[in-house]
Amino acid sequence: MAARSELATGIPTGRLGVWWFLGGEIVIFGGLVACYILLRLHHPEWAVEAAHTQLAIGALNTFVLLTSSLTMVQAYACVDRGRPQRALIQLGATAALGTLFLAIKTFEYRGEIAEGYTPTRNLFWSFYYAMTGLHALHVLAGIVAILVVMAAVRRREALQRVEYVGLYWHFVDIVWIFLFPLLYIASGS
Amino acid sequence: MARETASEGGRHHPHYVAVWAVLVALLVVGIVATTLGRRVLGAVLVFGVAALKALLVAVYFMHVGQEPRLVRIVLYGGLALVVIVILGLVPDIVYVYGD
Repeated sequence: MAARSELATGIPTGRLGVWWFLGGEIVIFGGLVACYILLRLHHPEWAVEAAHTQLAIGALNTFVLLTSSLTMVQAYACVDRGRPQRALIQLGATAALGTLFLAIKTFEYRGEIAEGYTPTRNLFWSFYYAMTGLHALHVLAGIVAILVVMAAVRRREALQRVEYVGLYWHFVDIVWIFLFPLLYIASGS
Repeated sequence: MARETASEGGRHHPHYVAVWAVLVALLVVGIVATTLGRRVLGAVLVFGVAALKALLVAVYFMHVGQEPRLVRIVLYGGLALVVIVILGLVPDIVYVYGD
C-alpha cells in the first residue's frame, strides 16, 4: 500500500514526484530553447544552415513520437480499466516506436555528419546537436523506464507506474513538438 | 508492493485516437504553413500550431486539467524560471554577444 500513499496534497506521492521532476525538465529544455531563440533572432544567417536539416525526416519522427504518445496513453487506459495484459502490448509498441525514433535520428545524424554538418561547424549546429542529442537521451531513458515498468506489469505489480512513465513520455513528446519547428520548419518560413 | 493498484486517479478517458488524428492533422498544417511564402504569417502559424499540439498532449494525454492545483503550480514554477532565464540572457545575448 506504500505506493498509494498520499500527503495532504491529495495526489499520490509517486505521481507528484514525477510532476516535480518534469518541472525541473521544463527549466532544462526551456533554458536551452530560450537561448537558441534569442540567438536565432540575432543571427538571420542561421536560416541558411537550418535549410540543410531534413524536413521530411523531422516530420516522420514527429509522426512516430505522436503515435508513441497514443500507444502510451492507451496503455494507461488499459491499466485503468483493469486490463494489464493489453497494457503490456501498448507499452511494447511505445518502446518499439521510441526505438524507431532513435534509429531514424541516427540515420539522420549519419547523413549530416557525412556532409560536414558536425557539432563544431558553427553555433547553429552546436545547438542542433545539443538539443536533439539531449532529447534523444531522454527518449533512450524513457525506453529503459518503459521496459522496467513492463517487467513490473508482467508480475501485476505497481501498475500505477504505467501512468508515471507515461507522464514522462508525453513530456518528451512535447519537447520534440517544439524542437521540430525550431530546427526544421523555421528554416523555410 | 502495490499489487493490482491500477487507477489512482480515476481518470476520464477521452477518445485518444481522435486526439491523435487531430495532432497528425496539425502536423500537416504546420508543414503546409511553411509553403505560404509569407514569412511572419508562416512563423506565427507554425509556432501557434506547435503550441496547440503541446496543449492537446498536456490536456488529453497527460490529463493536466484533472490534476490538483499543486501540479499546475509546479509546472508554472518551471515556466517562471525559464522566463527568468530569458530575462537574464537578453542583455547578454542581444547587446553583448550579438554585437
